[in-house]
Parts: sequence; structure tokens; C-alpha cells
Amino acid sequence: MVPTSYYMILSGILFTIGVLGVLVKRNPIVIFMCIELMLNAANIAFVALGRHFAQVNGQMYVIFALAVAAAEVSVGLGIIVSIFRTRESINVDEMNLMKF
Amino acid sequence: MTDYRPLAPYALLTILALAVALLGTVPAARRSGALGWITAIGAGLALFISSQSPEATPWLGMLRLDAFSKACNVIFLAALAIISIASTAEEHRTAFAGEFYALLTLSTVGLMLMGASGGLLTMYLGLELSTIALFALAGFSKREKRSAEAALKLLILGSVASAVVLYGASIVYGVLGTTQFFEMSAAMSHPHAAGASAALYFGITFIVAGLAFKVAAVPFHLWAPDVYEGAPSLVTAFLSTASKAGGFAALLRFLGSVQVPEDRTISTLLIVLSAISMIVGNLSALSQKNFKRMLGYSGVAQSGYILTALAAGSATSKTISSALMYLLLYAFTNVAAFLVAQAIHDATGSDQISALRGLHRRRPTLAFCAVVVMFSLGGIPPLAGFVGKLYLFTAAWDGGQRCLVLIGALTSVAALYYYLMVVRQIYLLDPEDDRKITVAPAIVMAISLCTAAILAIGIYPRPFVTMGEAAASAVQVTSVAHQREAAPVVAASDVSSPHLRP
Amino acid sequence: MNEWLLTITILAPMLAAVILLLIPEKQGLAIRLVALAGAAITLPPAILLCLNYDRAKGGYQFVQDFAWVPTLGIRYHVAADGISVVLILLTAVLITGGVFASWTRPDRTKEFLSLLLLLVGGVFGVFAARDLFFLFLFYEIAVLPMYLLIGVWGTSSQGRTKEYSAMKLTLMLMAGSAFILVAILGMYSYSTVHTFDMDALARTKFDAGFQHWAFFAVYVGFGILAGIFPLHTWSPDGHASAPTAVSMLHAGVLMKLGAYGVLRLGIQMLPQGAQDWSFVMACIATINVLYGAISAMGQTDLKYIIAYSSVSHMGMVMLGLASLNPVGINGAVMQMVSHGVMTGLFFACVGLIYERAHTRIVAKMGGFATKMPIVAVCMTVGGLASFGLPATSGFIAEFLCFYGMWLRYPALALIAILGIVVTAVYVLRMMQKIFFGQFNPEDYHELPDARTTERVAISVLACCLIGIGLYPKPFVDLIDIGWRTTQRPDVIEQARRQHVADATHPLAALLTPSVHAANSETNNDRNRGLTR
Repeated sequence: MVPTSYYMILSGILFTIGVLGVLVKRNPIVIFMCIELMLNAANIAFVALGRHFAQVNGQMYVIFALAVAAAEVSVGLGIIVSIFRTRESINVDEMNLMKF
Repeated sequence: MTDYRPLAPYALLTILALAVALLGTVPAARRSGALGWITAIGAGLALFISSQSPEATPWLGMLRLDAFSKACNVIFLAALAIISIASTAEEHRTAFAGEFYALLTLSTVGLMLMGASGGLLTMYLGLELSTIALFALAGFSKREKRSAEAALKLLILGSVASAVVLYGASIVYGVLGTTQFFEMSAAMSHPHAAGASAALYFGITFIVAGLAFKVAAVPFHLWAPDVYEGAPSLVTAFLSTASKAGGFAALLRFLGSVQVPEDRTISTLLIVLSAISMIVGNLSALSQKNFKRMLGYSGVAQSGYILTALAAGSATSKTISSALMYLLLYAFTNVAAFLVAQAIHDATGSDQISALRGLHRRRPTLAFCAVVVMFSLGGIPPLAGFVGKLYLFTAAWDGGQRCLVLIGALTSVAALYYYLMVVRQIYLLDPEDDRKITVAPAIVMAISLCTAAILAIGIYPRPFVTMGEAAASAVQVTSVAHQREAAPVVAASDVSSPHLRP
Repeated sequence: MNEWLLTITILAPMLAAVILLLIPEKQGLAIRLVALAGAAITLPPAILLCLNYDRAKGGYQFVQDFAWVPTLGIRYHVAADGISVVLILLTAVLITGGVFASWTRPDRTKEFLSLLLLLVGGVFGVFAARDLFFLFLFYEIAVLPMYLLIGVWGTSSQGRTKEYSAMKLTLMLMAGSAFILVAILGMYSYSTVHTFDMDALARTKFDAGFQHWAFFAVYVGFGILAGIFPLHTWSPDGHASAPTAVSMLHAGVLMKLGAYGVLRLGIQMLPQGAQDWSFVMACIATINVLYGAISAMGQTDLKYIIAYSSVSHMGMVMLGLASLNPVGINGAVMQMVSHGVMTGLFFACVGLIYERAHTRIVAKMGGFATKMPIVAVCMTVGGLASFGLPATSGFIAEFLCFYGMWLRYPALALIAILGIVVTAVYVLRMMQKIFFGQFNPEDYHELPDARTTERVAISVLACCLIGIGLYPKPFVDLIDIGWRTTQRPDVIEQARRQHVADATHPLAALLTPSVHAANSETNNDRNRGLTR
């Protein structure tokens, strides 16, 4: 059996990749995928820990988190589409109408 | 058998949201502002039911419907009701009025869940429900580029923040084996947890950081000025008050009922957040030309003031009651401030501070209310802001955070400068254009309500202090009682439980 | 009835301020009458307070005390001792005069008078409050309307815009209140009682280290309003920019709030801290006296001269306070009253002159006495009082201040007395230039004398100056009893010992007549003889 700590390390790596992606990438769709990566890192941790503690709580968490993530994505993509309509570009570097 | 009656306000608001969305299909010409009034009345009704309903902890303690959640509901529902009233003025301009009120109401339900959360899962769900609705609301003016940009910024940073909260929750779960607040306190004194204290603090820090985003504390504030400026003023009014109060409600619930042992680590984090929020927020606001953006930075600083009390130790009842009272009065004050921005924008088409120039000649009542609001934000007696700030600083001082109080008091002086610059535009300068401006009666009514509340809280704060005290004891009583319940279990598995507080 | 007097005094002007806002702007006369009523209605209670104050009993009287926010330890607690009643009377006189002085103000009268009355309500509140929360609340109410009063109705002069002056004044005073707030929170949290009630706090024993720093915060916080060097810079700009009635009240009463705060919160609540900082306070006060007088000498603008003279005279108040002995403190409070009336008179006269001559530059004036004799007489009385000529209130006040300082730091007292000489020089030179000399009819076509309302206002103030000067006993008595009977218990003991030492000095017994109830009659006679 794979020890729980392995899952935790994997989840940590995934989360780090997600954070780095959010910081580095300029396309909001890719940024969004990175955020999904962060959420899924947490989900992996929850599932593994649920098994570790022999509780169903972990899995329950994941179900909720998945539902929430789906809602987030649908609203998010809607907003991105609406931005693309108004300015023909979705590069976040061009989101600079408001500054100091 | 669980008693579901205390859940009535939540159910009522959910139904209200759906009903309003349906009613939105009626052509705008035939409803003439009715949706806003329905929402406001629904919010008022929910507030009444919430105040009358008994206390309960349904669903295995995942929700805690007690004095604390009731006090939070007052803040959220008051903001919802006032903003709905003000929005009736704008209702005919959009084809999506139904969706607007539905999203606003759903976001409020999410915030109420955060205030009533009994564990990290409920807190996360409430956070997401309120935030996702706000993404859509921030981008509500679809034609406006700024509004869309604000929505995107809120979307990306908000999603990151909630992912951070979720990841923090998973780490805490991993260390403690539970995500229910009252079980966490007991589990923390378990030697297993003590061995993994670094991981535990890591997790708690993640959760606090995610919530710090919600309350726009430095360094998680970068979205706030942009979003406040770009989003429609009515949405910003909600975002800057109810949404911020939701973040604080979750923080208070979490830090108040989970007695983190050796809480020095977490309090250091809060001290730093508080100090830099006050300094950065106030100093950045000094140079702003845009009224809404200035209010955005001022909101960052106000979060810093509230964090001074939290930094003083979340376990004291003064912290919780002072923070709740400040959030309540801040809701009235800042909603009124953004409604002024909305009224000015309607009349002049500008969000600049200079658009307020000579308001005392162009619309004396509005000018008077705006000045009251600015002075209240600046903490000038006998207005609500003064009592609230004094209460917060008392809590902080009692908790030994004297340096923070000093920073707070001194940065308040700097803050007064930019509030006075607004007053200067309104009262000192004469308008370039002497004509009267028209402001929708609904907005005037909403602003007057807020002004009355500001004066009332400022002059006679007693009932609000009492409410805060009751809420504080609710959070603590449950945590202490459950600790006592859990204590024998811990003691059985582990003889030495040095961290367990009596 | 007695217990309501203070509350009536505080609320009447505030109520009038609210009523004013509801009257339409066009009803000019109604607005002025309501404002006058709101101001003058405080006079009878203020006089009653002075008359009804039980001198045999002493201590705080006219108490009204009930819980406001019990969980926070806030009480609505007002009470007055001899010092408070005297200062309340001063305020009532000045606000009535101030309303008269702004009788003919043309623009936005309603808001102006409303803010003025709000401010005065705050001032009354500070003098009456016995709860730190309410004291601070009233203090801010008294200070903040200044921003609008100067910013909207002020005049820009000498390259300083009124907005600049208003902002500078407000921010400096608010920085001061940040210090006060910290001190108040410190006192509040010090004991386990957690109360803002000053009576309860007076029974708390603060340790020496706490008193040291808390007193510093109180001194700096209130001192900014009292115009201590080098934090006085708001004062000349502010006073010069402010309209007449505002300058009257601000220099006349508001600056006294600063000194009153140092006395009540500092010297009375934190006596040990006051001892620690006494020398520093005395040095700064001495600098104030000299610096204010010398600066006034170098000014050409009439309002700046008066403003710097206020800095100098407030220095004398602080000098009296810094002496920490009964003589000096009596002198300080007397000087507050004397300077309040005097500077109110000055600013009222300057306002009248400016309104007619359209200039405030002294060099351009001359021979005005022939055209406006009443103004000339009243202003001359004020001038004489300002350098302490016997038979004016300035004499007894300044004499007591310097004498108090002499008992503590003789060298500083000697240096500070030089300030009087400088004051005499610039006051006499100013009077001579404005009222006497050659009148130039080409510059000034008509210079009518004061109107009836204004005449009443300034002559009442001038009469006060001479009246107090001729017969200061009632005031000195009130102040003295107030000071002696409101001390912390531990300090009373100390003061008794100190007093024995003082009483060996012939002049001490002479100048504080009420101390020896037995031989008070003889003292009175001597006192009267001295002032003549």
C-alpha cells in the first residue's frame, strides 16, 4: 500500500505547480487551469487523508469541492467570453485600465 | 430529530433569490422597481425570523445557528436590504434586474453560511457561494470595459484565494483528523498534532491568508482598489461591506472557537497583516483622485483597524464584539459612501473626487449625508465610526497590542486628510456648474437610512455592544463547552495535555 | 434642577444647531434669533452655576451620572468644580458675543452659526465631562468644526490659503488627539476596573513609569491645542484665516481646552508624571511667552499680531500650570479667563476694523480713534490687560502665574517676565499706530463706529476685563476651592504639606485668600488694595 505521505507530497507538488502557473501565465484560460490544479491538489489530499483516517469525510469534501469548482469555471468562462467580446483580447497584461 | 426551524431565514432567502430571478422576466416597464422592494422586504423578513428563531446546531454541528450567526445576519441583511432599495433606481436600465437581485441574495446566503459555519467545510462552501455570485455581479455592466476587467481580476484572485483556503483545510484535516471547529480545539492538544505543529500552522496560515483576501488585508488587497473602481457602485457597496464582513465573520468564528495553542505564530501573522494594512491602505489612499478607488484603499485600512482587535487575541470576548460592531457600522457607512458615488456618477458621469465639487450648493441633503459618512469613516465623534474605532482599539490595547493602537491612531490622522479632501470638495469649493442635480429618491432614501443609523450607533451604541457581547459569548461558550466534552477523550489517550486550556 | 444645569448648557447650543439646519436659508432674521437664543440661553445656567456652587462643600457639584454603555465602562457623567464653572461662564459670554459679532455675516449664515453652536456645545461638554469617553467625544466635537468654519468662511492672507490653514490646523490637532486617545486607553486599561469614569480612575493608583509616559502623551496631545512651542504653528495661520467669531471662540475658549486638558487629565490624574515633566513644561512655556511676544513684534498683519500674542499668553497659562503649586494653577486658570475675554475682545475689534478699513496691515492705518472711539477704547482696554496693567484682569492672572513659577523655578520666572516687557512694547506700538497719529482721509472715506449690537458685545467684554481686574475675589475663590477640593486623595495630603511651606510666605497668604477661612476678611481688603 502506498503510504499517505506520498499522496501528500504529490498534492504539494501539484499545488506548487498551480501557484507558479497562476503567477507566470498570461492567458486567463491557462490561469484558470492552474487554479483547477490547485483545487485538485487539495482534493487528492482529502481523498488520501480520508482513507488514512478511515473516514468518509474526506471523500465528502471532494464531492463538494468538485461541484464548487464546476460552478466557478462556468461563471469564469462566461466572464472571459464577455471580456473577449468587448476588447478582442484576453491577455491579462492588457487589463490595465485601472492603475494607481 | 433535528429542529429545522432555525434554518428558515436561509431557506427563505434561497426561495427569494429564485423567485426574484423568475419575476425578472416581467418587462421592466411593468414592474417599476418592484423587484428591489421585494428583495428588501424579503431581507427584512429574514432578519426578523433570524432574530426570533431558537438556537440550534443542525446537521451534525456543521451549522451553528447562535447569537454570533444572528449578529452576522444583521450585518449582511441590513446591507442587502439597503442596497436593494437603492438599486430600484437603476432597475429600469438593465434587462437583467432579476438576476442582479438573485445573485445579490444568493451571495448573502453564502455570507450567512460563513457566519454560521461550524466547520471548515461549511465555511468553504459559504465562501464560494458568496464569491462566485460576486464574480458575476462585478462584471454586471457588460458593456463597460472596466466592469469586465474588475470581474476578471476578482475571478482570478478570488479563485486562487478559495483554492488556498481549501488546501489549508486539507492540511489541517490531515493533522487533526477533523474539520469541525470544536473538535479541532481538542484534537490540537493531542500529541500527534503537537508533533506536526509546523504543518498545522502552515495550514492555518493558508486559511487565514485566503480569508485575508476576502477582507482585503495587505498584502492580499491588490484586487480591491481595481475591483472597487471597476465594478458598478451598487455591487461595490455590497462587496466592500457585506463580503468583507463575511470574511471577518469566518475569521472570528474560526479563530474564536479554535483555541490555537501557543497562538503566538498566528497572532504574529495577524499583527503584521494589521499593521501593514493600516499603513499601506491609508498612505495609498492619500494620492487617489478617483472617489471609488480612494474608498477601496480606505477599506483596506479599515480592515487593518479591525485586525488590530483580532491580533490582540481572538479568544477575548471584546475582540469579537468590537469587530462585529465595527463591521455593522462600517456596513452602513461604506454602503452610504458608495451610494453617494453612484448618485454622483448618475448625475455627472464621473467617479472622480472632483465631481463632488460644490455639492453643498447642488444638492444640500446629499452633501450633508456625504460629510457625515466621511467623518464617520474618519472616526470623528459623535458618529458611529468613532465609537467603533475606540472599541476596537480598547480591545487591542487590552490584548497588549499597544504598538498597533499607536499605529492605528497615527494613521487615522493621515486618513483624516483624504477624508477631509472629500469634505473640501463638497463644502469648501464652489461648483463650476451651479445647477441642482437630480438624485433618484430611492438612493436618497437609502443614504438617509444609513446616515440615521450612523448617528444612532454613534450616539447610543449600547444595544449594539450588547449584541456583540452576546455573539462573543456564543462563540466562546460553544468552544469551551465542547472542549470540556472532548477533554476526557483526550485525557484518556494522552495523559499530558499541556495545551488544553481550562 | 441643579443637576440639570450642566446638561442644559451642553445641549442648548447643540439643539439650536440642529434647529438652525431646519430653517430655510432665506429666513435671515429667524436664523440669527435662533442662534442668539441658543447662545444666550447658556448664560443663565452658567451664572447660576457660579452662584450656586457651594463653596463650603467644594469638590464636584451639579452631578448627573448614569450608565451609558455599561459593558464598556462608559457613563454619562457630568459635574463641575470651581474651575469648570468659571470656564463655562467664560464660554457662555464669548459665544454670545460671537453670535453678535457675526450678526451681519452675509453668506451661508445658517450653516456658519450652526457649526459655531455645535462647537460651543462641545466646549461646554469638555468643561463638564467627568467621563473620559465623553470628554474625548466633546473635545473632538469642539475641534473638528474648525475645519469647515475656517475652510469655508475664512480669508486667505499672506500667501496662505484658507484651505491650507484649515487643513494644517485640523491635522495637527487631530494628531494631538491621537496622543490623547492613547493616553485615555492606557488609563482605561490600567486597572482591572476598566472604566472611563474619571472619579473611579482618580482612585486608581497609577505607577510612576506609567504616569511618566501617559503624562507625556496628555501633555503633547492637549498641548498642541494650547499652542506649546514648537507645535504652535497651526495657531497663527489658523487664527489669521478664521472669520471674526471663530477667532474669538478659538483663541478665547478652544485653546483653553488644551490647557484645561493638561490640568484635568495630566496634573490632576497623573500627579507623579506632572512632577517628572514639570521642568520641561516650564522651559517650553517660557519659550512660548518670549517667542510669541517677539514674533508678534515682527508682524505687520493685525490678526497675526493677535495670534502670536495668544501663543505668548497661552505660554503664561502653561507656565502657571507647570509650577504645579496652588498659586500658579490659580494664576493659570485666571489667565485662561482673562486671556479668553481679552482675545475675544481683540478679535472682535480687529474684525470691526477690517470690515470698515478693508485692511489688516497696521502700517496702513492711523488716527482711527477719532472715527471709531468705542472700538478704540475697548481695544485699548484689551491691550492694557494683555501686558497686565493693574486694575485689569491681566494683572492678577499674570502676577499669579509668574509668582507660582517663581516659587518653583525662579530663574525661568525671571526670564519669562521679560515677555511682559516685549508685550507692552508691541501692544502700545500697535495701539499708537492704529488709533492715534495722522488719519489719512484719502485712503478711508468713511469709517463708522461699531453698530449697536457690536457695541454691546465689545463693551461688555471690556467691562469684564476691568471688573475682574478690580474685584477678582469671586473668581479666585471659585478656582482655588475647585483646585483644592478635587485633588486625588494622595495629592491632597502632599499639597497640605506644600501649602504650609507656602503659607510662611506673606504674599502666598495674601494672594490665595480663601485658604484661610478664618482671616479671609482681612485678606480681601489687602487683595483689593493690591489690585488698585
